[in-house]
Amino acid sequence: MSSENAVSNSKFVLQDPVLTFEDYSRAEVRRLEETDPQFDSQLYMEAIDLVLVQMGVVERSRDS
Amino acid sequence: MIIRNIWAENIFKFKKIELLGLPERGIIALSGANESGKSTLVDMISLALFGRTVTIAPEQLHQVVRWGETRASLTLEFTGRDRRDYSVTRYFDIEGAQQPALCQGGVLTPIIKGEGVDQKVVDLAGFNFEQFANILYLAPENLRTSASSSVMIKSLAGVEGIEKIAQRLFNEVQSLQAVASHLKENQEKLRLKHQHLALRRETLDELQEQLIHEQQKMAALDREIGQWRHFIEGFRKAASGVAAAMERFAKSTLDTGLDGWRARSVQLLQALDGFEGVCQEGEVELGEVNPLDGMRQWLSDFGQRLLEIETIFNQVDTYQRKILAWLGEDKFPHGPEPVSTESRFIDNRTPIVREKERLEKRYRRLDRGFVVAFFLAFFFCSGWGLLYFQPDLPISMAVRQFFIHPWSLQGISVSIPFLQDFLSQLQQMVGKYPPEAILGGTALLMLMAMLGDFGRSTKIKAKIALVTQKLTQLEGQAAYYREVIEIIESSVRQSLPRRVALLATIDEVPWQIELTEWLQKGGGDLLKEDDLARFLNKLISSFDQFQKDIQFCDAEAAAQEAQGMESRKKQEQSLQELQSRIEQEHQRRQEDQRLQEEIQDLHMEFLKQEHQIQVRQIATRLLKGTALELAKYFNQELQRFISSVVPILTGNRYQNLRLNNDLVIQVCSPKKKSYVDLAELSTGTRAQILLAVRVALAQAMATRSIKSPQFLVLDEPLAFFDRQRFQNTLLALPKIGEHLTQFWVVAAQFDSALPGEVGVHIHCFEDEDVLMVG
Repeated sequence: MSSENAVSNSKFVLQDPVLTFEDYSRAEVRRLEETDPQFDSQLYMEAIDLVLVQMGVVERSRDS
Repeated sequence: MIIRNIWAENIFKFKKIELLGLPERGIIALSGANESGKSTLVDMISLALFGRTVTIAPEQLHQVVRWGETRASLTLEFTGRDRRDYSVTRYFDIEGAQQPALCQGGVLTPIIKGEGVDQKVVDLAGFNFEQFANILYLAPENLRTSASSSVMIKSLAGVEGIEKIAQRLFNEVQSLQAVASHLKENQEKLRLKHQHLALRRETLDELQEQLIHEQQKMAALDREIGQWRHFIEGFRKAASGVAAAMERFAKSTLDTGLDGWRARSVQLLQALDGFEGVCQEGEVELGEVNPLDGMRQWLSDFGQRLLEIETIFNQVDTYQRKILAWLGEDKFPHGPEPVSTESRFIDNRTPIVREKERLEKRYRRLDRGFVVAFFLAFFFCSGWGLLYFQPDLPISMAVRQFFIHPWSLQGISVSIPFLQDFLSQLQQMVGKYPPEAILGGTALLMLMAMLGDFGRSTKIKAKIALVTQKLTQLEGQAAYYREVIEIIESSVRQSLPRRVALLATIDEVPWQIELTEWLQKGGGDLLKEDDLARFLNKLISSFDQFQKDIQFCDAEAAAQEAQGMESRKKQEQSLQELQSRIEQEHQRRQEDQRLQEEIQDLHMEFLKQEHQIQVRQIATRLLKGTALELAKYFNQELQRFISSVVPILTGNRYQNLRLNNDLVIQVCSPKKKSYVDLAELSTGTRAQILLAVRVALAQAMATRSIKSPQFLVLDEPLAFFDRQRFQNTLLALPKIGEHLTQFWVVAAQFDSALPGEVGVHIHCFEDEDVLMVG
């Protein structure tokens, strides 16, 4: 995890952005799964992984 | 974290520093002119805790050591989150290296040394260097503009990192879109190139079918040329055979025998047959008048003559066989002996010879009987004459006595019984007749017998003469036949003309008529040199015509072959062109395949880029949503601290402050009765509000995260404040909340009327390098 990518390098004081992102993404995926018949969960999972990689939470995205 | 004591040697400009007994609550005022070292004291807090400062980059830490010194030391005693006292000591050298050590309480033995010290300090403090620099360390530049505060707020809210990632993804999307656009352009170019290639799938198959067809034509042409060559070779060979046979034939002379004629004729005929076969195979016609017909006609005529003379010769052979068979003297040398209907010479001659011998033998016997009869007749006549004319003679008496007493010889007869019996029977028979009668009669009988013999011998003699004549005739004929045989046998070894001439010399032979007719019908042409030459000239004339026709046909065939070769050359060129077109078509196919693959690859790459763009766009949307969530929550949480801090620090002038969704600070203006951006406020007011916001953030951090008394550093944040506002701020700071208790305030100077809540005032002088407090 590089310091450049690390979002959670403790600048925050109130809320962890990684957890917020994960919660928000999960909620968004759930919402779209329920409302959008054309919803492509794979794309969203890749996007989430990509962001987590960028955040330095995971080493690399699922598709890579 | 509360800072209790600080010791330092050879740090920055100071040779020695001792700040002892620092209060847990209240303001620690640091004042002094520029370059007096007041900010250095603040930097020492960060340097002691984290080994780095806000103002000095890590690679320039060698500047920490005082000028002219080689080593420096810094010790900071603090109370951690666990309410226990610790001291962190760092030793520096001029290379920038440092050796940290952490001790607990008053124990001098470090609990941790080296690398683990930094992390342990972070744990004990409840914040790291970043949080210190952004939240607990307030520099004046952070309060000049609302933009910098907004950045800081976003950073603290976690939105800054989110937005950075979003921006990075946005930039990636831009780059990916540029790449995708480039891929699309390249794909379009390749598609146009592919369209321009205009490859027809059927063309190669058609060309290959055409190639097979042309190759078949080529093979047929090769076969035809091969057949032509084969024909020409055979034609020339057959023509050479005819020429050779003809040459041998033309060399024939009168000395050539029948076998030689026949053999050459057969050779020539075979050569002509072979040549004709080649012509038929090649479907070649030799001119309007076929010279082969003339030669064949000549050979047929010639053959007929040979056949006729051969027939004659066969007759001669047959005749020879018959004669030889008739003569019976020698076997026929040229084959089995023919069955003859005639009696053989020996068969004819033998009975004649035997008859002659028998007649001659009979004649000789008759001749001897005649002599005996003559003597007997003479004897008996003499006896009769004696008895009749001289009966008294003693001899006549003796004879008579003999007839009267023939037994006087009985003694003899006794000794010879057979003679005795005969004499007895003779006496009985002749005894009753007179001796004269007996002798006369006997003499007469003898005369008669003599006459009879003479007659018979004469007759036999005539027969002998006749038989001898027959025998002579037969032997003459045999001698003649032997001569004929000799001629025939000698003719066999002769040339045809000499043989014919020899045979013609024999008369009265069966073939004589046929030979004469043969000579009259043209056979004579073979017997004389001039006639033969004339006769052969007819054949040579036909052969000359044959030669001309051969040359013509050979030239025609060669022309046909040349034409075939020319056609083959054209066909070969056509094949090469076709193969070249097929090769080009293959290359076009490969190009087509390559273009399709490239287009497909580009398309796949484009889809991949599109996918990456989609992923990043989704990620960006999620990040924006997350940022909104963070901002919303941060806004809600911070609002509570702001609402408690801002009125205190603004003297209740501004009580309502909020952060919008972009975390931009807005304040409710009492005059305007509405929220306005900080940009609309005066610089001092804006700095005051921003300070309130920053202190509220620090309060929030101390409350939420550190959860213990905490120091706050304000490095000249009040420079833009007027005196009253500066005073009010200093008075308000200790009242902010329970967790923020120790305020390090740096300023150029503090009024003499510094409120009593100020715990300690440390003034730095520019020319002093020793600072001792407490």
